[in-house]
Amino acid sequence: MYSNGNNQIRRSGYKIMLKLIGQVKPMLPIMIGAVILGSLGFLCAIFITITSIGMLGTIISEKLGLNLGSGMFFHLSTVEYRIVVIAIIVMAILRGILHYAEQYCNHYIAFKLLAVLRHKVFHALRKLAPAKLEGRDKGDLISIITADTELLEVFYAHTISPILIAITTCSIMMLFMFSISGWLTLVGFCGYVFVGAIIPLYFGGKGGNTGLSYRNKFGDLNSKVLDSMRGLDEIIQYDFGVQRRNEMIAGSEAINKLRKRLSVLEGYQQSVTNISIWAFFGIATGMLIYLNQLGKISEGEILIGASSIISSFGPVIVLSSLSNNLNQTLASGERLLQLLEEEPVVKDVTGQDEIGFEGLNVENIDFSYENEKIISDFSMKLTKGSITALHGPSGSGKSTLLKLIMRFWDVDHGQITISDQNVKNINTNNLRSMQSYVTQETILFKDTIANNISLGNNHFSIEDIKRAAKAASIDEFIMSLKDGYDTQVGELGDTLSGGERQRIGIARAFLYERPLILLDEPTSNLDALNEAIILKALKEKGGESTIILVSHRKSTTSIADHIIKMKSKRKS
Amino acid sequence: MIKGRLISFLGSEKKYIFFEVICRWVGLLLQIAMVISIAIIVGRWISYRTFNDSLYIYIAIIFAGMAGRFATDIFAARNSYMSSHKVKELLRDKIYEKLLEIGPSYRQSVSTSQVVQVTTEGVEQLEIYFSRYLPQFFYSMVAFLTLFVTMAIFSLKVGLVLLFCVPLIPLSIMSVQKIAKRLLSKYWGVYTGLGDSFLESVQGLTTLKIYQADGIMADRMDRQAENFRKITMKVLTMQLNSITIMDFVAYGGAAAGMLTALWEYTNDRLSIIGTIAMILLAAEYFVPLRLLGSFFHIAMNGMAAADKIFDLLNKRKPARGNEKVSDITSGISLSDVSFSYDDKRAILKNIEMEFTYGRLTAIVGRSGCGKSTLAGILAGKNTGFKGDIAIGDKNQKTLSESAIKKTITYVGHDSYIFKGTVRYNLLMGRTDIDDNELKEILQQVNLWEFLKNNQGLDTFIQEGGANLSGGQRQRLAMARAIIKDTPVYIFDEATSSIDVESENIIMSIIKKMAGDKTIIVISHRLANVIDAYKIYMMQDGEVVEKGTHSTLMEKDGEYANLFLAQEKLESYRRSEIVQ
Repeated sequence: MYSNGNNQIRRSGYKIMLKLIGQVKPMLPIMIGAVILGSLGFLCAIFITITSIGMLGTIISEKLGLNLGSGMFFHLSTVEYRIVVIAIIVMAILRGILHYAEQYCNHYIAFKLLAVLRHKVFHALRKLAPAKLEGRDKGDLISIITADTELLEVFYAHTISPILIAITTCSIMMLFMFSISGWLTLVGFCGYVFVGAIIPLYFGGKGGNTGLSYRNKFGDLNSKVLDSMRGLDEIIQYDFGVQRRNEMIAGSEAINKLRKRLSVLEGYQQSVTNISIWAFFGIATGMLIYLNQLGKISEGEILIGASSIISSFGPVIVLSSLSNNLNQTLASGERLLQLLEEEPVVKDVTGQDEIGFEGLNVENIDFSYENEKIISDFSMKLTKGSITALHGPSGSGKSTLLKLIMRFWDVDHGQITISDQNVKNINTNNLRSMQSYVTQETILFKDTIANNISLGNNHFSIEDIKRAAKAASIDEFIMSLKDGYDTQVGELGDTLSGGERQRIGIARAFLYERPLILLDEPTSNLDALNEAIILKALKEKGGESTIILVSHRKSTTSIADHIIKMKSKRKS
Repeated sequence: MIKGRLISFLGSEKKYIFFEVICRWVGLLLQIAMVISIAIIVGRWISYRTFNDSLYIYIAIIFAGMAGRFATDIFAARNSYMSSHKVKELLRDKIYEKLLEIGPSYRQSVSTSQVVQVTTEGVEQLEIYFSRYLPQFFYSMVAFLTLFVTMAIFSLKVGLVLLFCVPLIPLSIMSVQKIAKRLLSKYWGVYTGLGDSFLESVQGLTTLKIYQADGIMADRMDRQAENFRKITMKVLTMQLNSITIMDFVAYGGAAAGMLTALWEYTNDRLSIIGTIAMILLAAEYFVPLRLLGSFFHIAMNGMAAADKIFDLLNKRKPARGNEKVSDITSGISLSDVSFSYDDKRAILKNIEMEFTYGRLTAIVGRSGCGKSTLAGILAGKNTGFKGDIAIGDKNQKTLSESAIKKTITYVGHDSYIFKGTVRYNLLMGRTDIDDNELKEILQQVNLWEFLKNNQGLDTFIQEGGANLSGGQRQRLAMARAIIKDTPVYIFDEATSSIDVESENIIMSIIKKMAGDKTIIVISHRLANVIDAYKIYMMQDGEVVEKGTHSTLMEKDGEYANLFLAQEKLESYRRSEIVQ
């Protein structure tokens, strides 16, 4: 099962990273491209400095009549002098172009991933739903999935390629240094690892917890601000403004300590990084001078070697801010992988004969959910075209029964049949096309009202949609809006009342004209008048459909032809 | 490139920006000292192949410079951090203060969703303006002057070459500014919209799957992401173009400076020490301005947000009197009240109404008839009406804002519940009340049974009351309103979006409250107000009928029509249970 909250990482961080990279295979060529372009860009920048220093050395040595040895250009003629200058200019321009191309590739990856990753997650959820999205922690689950996806986008777009670019560039630079001295390579290697890995990891570890609790507290403060804004009417009316302001100020003062600590750490990290670079430069220069004294390298090579060290820390400095989120990112990655690897509770059925709806039969079923017995030995029989009400207290398994009919889960014992065919053996598409489902609260999407009724299905014309809306007594309301059926639901905000939302849900069910309509407490959030409007619509416009209506309320069950009472199995 | 008002707005927080710039400037001076020391050491060694005793002085300067840099970096980082967060708090606090000052009628000038947007995203964007752009702006000016003076001392020619290149950077920034502004204002915020639509699709996945529309939604999301990607790449290309131009100017300028220095050196117009110093400093020369350019794009977004924030802060507090209601027993009366939001379409026309003390008076009518606008006027949310409203012995317009709040409580259909305990929410109404009384009131609204099984008064409520049902939220809001205990209550569709059980509970409480209060009930469901002392039937902004339920039914007019239609409808839920 998918677990949220305190999940520990079962895979190693390294494995998670590899698996995550595997998830975006189609992006790999571009990512590799970005790494190559980025590395070349850095190399251009580095060699602009090195070449300039080389030229400077040459000019100085010629002017003073010195011989600085290998690594320098010797006795440049005017033509050669020009060539070197042109080479520097070309590298400068290339640097600009390569940087441009790398940034372009990396952002291309970032936004392409936004699509790929969400597509994958949504695809996995489509496979796992509806069973997966039932249960107690639905809200948590959804927020985790969306937050994880966002964090991973950052990981792919702004973590992987900088690391790879740093590794590539540094390796090439170490090879270059090797041409001067193996010792220089060693100093370079130590410098890169120290600045690019040890410093960020040390400060990341030190500030990690503070950072996390700061972010959490900061989130709390933000939500307090939001709360104060959304409830502004009430705050003004109840003269609560001063109190809320003080609470907000107190909230920000509470995080001041954490903030100070973090800023100190940040400053230290920056300064330590700067000093380390200078220190490695000093060590390298000292060592090169020593090697020169031993006669192993020329004076020219001192200049080239020292400048290659000082100019090549660019790609590793970029890594210094990456480690802060790494643990969270890995945890997100692990959750994402678990989700993608999870098997659905019920497998889709295909390849059976298509059937029509000729009645529903529930025979002696038992069902438990998470070790809790919900339904035991329950039977009912529904004839085509009837309205049946399931009535009973909460916890009696009424809603669960509807979900079993839709085969969110399979029953433990007994069987549910449609047209004498066990639902387990009906093609999933066939089963879905026989049923529609209305719940307590109709979910609306940020789209037009027409698309909210049709769920974006082009198969329906606007006339079909209007007819369904009329049957659900919502047409008059929709036509009273400025843009009618093209009104964006989001723009209505909270002006859409509970009754209007539910009627849109009913219009959906009418539009799809499925032979079996399942309604789970469709009126429980409505006042008497709105309840009546919905019931009238169901009774009069339900047409040929067979209707199952779950409600704890007697007034709602009154339109039914049969009422079936369910008893509570749970003590609540 | 700088907005004066934004800076003056900072007040004493300016000091953090000032300190940051000073710290970084001192850091720059240290850097210059170190560079010159290095140039002297290297230059001497190259020229003479030997060091004299002064070597140790220069090495000491380099080490001291490093230590100094360490300190200034830390102080600069700290000040930058402080200013960025202070700015955010300050902006939010100012906006909030302003809203409280405007009072209940704030909605007439700005919608709640706009306020939320400005205080979250808007402030976030401005933070970058204050914490990054502004310090960088001042620092780059100071740094540019300092470096110019330093270089001019060594060689005026090199200094002038570099000086000539500097204006190219602001020019290249300006050249894309217009395009940038248009593109960004168009596409900013689409990203969050995309996240929302993902969240929404996951939430609605069960519905989508049942109706086999999940595939359609998946395609739609893919298309949205693709469109968004294309648009973003456009914005990005524009930004990259401008950054690349700046890069060429910066690197090209630095190269020109270096080459000039070398040229001067070969012609013996510059010492070797000067040459090395020039080359090292030329590299530094453009860095601050170049950085300013990259902050500029982000700061642009902040500018747009700033306009919105200043609009809000410029709003005037509505003029109000300062009288208090001393005698409420004469009830409330409206004479010749008219109202329009835009001076064109009249929402209310010549309303005459009488709300008797100690009685329940109802206002009914179909949606759009103006009854909620009227409630807004009575509660002080809508100002600028024509005509007169007497509240007790005073004219509404002469009352102070707090007098209105102390006299009238308004309960709408969607009362907001705050994150915090039940007690916290209830004590908003009044603080001098003990737990037993709170429990009693919760029992009245039928919430105590539920809360008892949780943590009682300490039950924690999530943001927006998310862990309560609609009915529970509304009943808690009722309890909060009862605790406030004002002489006048307005219930505006208070039961329209909740379950029948809660509806009945709330209606019976409202009816009981009438004894020593003036109660105004606005409802689309007529059955709720049959017992009202007086009923006003409204249509198209006018009172068309008034009277008690029975006189209105006898009249057989608009009210009777609506009532019978609703009654017929409701018969669907009255039929007895067949077993």
